[in-house]
Amino acid sequence: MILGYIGAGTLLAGVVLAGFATLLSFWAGARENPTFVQIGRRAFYAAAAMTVLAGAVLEAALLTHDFSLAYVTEHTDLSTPIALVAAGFYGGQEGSLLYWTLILGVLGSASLLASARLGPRLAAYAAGILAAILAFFLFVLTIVASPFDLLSVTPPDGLGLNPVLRDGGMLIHPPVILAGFASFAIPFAFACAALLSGRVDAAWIRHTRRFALIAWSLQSAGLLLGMWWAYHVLGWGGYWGWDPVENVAFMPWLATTAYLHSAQVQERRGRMRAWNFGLVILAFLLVVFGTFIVRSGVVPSVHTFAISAIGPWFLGFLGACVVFSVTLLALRGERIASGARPAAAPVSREGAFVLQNLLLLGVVAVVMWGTVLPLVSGMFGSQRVVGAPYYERAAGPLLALVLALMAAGPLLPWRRAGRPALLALRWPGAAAIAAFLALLASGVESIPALVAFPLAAAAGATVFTEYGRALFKNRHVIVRRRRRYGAYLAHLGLVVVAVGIGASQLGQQQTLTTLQPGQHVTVAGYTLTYEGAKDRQLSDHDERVATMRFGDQRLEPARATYAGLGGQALTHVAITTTPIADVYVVLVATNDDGSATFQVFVNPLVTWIWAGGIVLILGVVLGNAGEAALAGELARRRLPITLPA
Amino acid sequence: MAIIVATLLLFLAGPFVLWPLIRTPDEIEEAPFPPGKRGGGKP
Repeated sequence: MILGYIGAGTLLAGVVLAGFATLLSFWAGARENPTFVQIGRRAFYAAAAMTVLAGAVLEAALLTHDFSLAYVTEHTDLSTPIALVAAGFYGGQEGSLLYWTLILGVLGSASLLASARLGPRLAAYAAGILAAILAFFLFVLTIVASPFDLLSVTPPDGLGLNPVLRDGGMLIHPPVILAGFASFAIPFAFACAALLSGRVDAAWIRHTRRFALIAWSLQSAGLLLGMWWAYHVLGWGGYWGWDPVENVAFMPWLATTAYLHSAQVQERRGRMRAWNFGLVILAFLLVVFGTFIVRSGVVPSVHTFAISAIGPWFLGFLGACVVFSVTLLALRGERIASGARPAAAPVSREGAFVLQNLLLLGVVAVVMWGTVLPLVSGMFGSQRVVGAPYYERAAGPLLALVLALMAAGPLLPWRRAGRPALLALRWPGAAAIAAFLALLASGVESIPALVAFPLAAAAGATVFTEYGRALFKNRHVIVRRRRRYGAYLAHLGLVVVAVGIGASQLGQQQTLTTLQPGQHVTVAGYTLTYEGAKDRQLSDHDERVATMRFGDQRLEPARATYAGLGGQALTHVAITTTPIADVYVVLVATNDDGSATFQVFVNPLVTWIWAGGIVLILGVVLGNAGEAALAGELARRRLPITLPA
Repeated sequence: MAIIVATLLLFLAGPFVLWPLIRTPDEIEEAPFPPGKRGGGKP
């Protein structure tokens, strides 16, 4: 019980400190008072320390099974394995909100510590905006959704963690994706602070880009882990269901991907400044929108937390963020855009970046519309929901065009593409034609496959052309210009992901079958023999396990029943992976006559998605490691603008 | 109870937050005169 009081007191102290940091930082920034700027920043650090302390208190309460706390009772029990008890921290609404706040505090402090070179005014405004966001979250945690609420009677045991969350993926996916969500606040704060202070110089670009890269990397890893987890746990044979919660994690990723490309136009050519501000701001607004969707329960989703009172608070916060940032952009954007260099020709590197940005924003619009449709249609009558075909038909062509741009864009020079540059397109063009003919020869008739795979081949050929050129001329250039070659590696990773997604979507085969022991089933040339079923008792659940022989391997799909959780059942999928395909077996039921019903999927090239995703993230991370100084120097030489406040 | 804990934590955080305002007597003596007062006034 004492931990509940300490935790609640810690959050309360955090609200006071964050509120103080907000007011003081804006006041000190406006007056350019360095002493009070420092005090405001220190108040932010202290508020962040309170979130860390509150997190430690909640973790201690979970690990000591302090069931006097409602949160501990609702999300853990004595039989839950200890690692999952610890992970219960972010397993529910209140705890995950505290985790979000903790990451915001820690990353926000890191960004403010590194902000000294931005000047007192910009740093103070950034501290003020970050502190305001932190204050809002701490306020919600204190008043509306506290993880430290106490029960009037302490129960002897808790209710336990949701069975779906009782998996190794729980230890890694939620913390990474939540950290990704929280980290988008930092580029937003520095973008708004730059607009407020009128300072848009090289240091700001470097600082914002660095934290946008961190947010992008965390979100990429979070999305990838989420896909992997869904694939291994949910048992429907897929990894992406266009669920609203998946969508709201995908949209800020798209906006930040667009920003990371258009920021290059600003660095190299001094153009798209206001646009870049817009993208950074949009990414954060999408995060707040997503948080509202996930936590209010307004849109039906498999991920949504229980409907709670925090929805209106987040809607209000979203409204305030939209009004604040749009007003700021409207007032300052034009002045920032002024003085830019003349526009480049449409067929140029800049043109490719602009088109890529528009396409990615088009995908954001498609996904956004699909996500809010149930909400909007519900307001005007019967609720309508769109499924995967809508997203595939609407976003698919746009993503195919992005692949085409990945093939052509890197080969185009800045400003204007002449004849030699267009000649360089012959390699990706040849790769596309070769892939198209190979697909036709192998009997592929699917139009999406005949479009997507040749474009992926072309994008891959561009990467190999660029690497080949560098290795042939001067291999040191790969290290010296690692940001560029890291980006090519990321493109290659994305091509591999695209091939994996395309193959697994278009080439998936499945069958639903009931087998007696000794009988076999063949799907896409893979034969599985059912050997029998047995019961198994584990610490927190019972399992009915079926054994299937696959070559010299044994697959054991199972159905788990959690007696302590009101008999909730969960399927445990058995997957065997090869570079060519995954054989994915779901035990649907075991029957009284000794037979068992299985759903068997053969998913081609799914492993490529995970491998390509890792290459994608590694390319960006390695490409930008130690590159900050070079990027800053570049930007300093090309962007000498400081606007009057 | 939570309010008491919060007050205690704020009390503990105070010196860290307000450190830029906290000066020892030595630092105050060493500090330069404000611009208008340089050279001193009447004794």
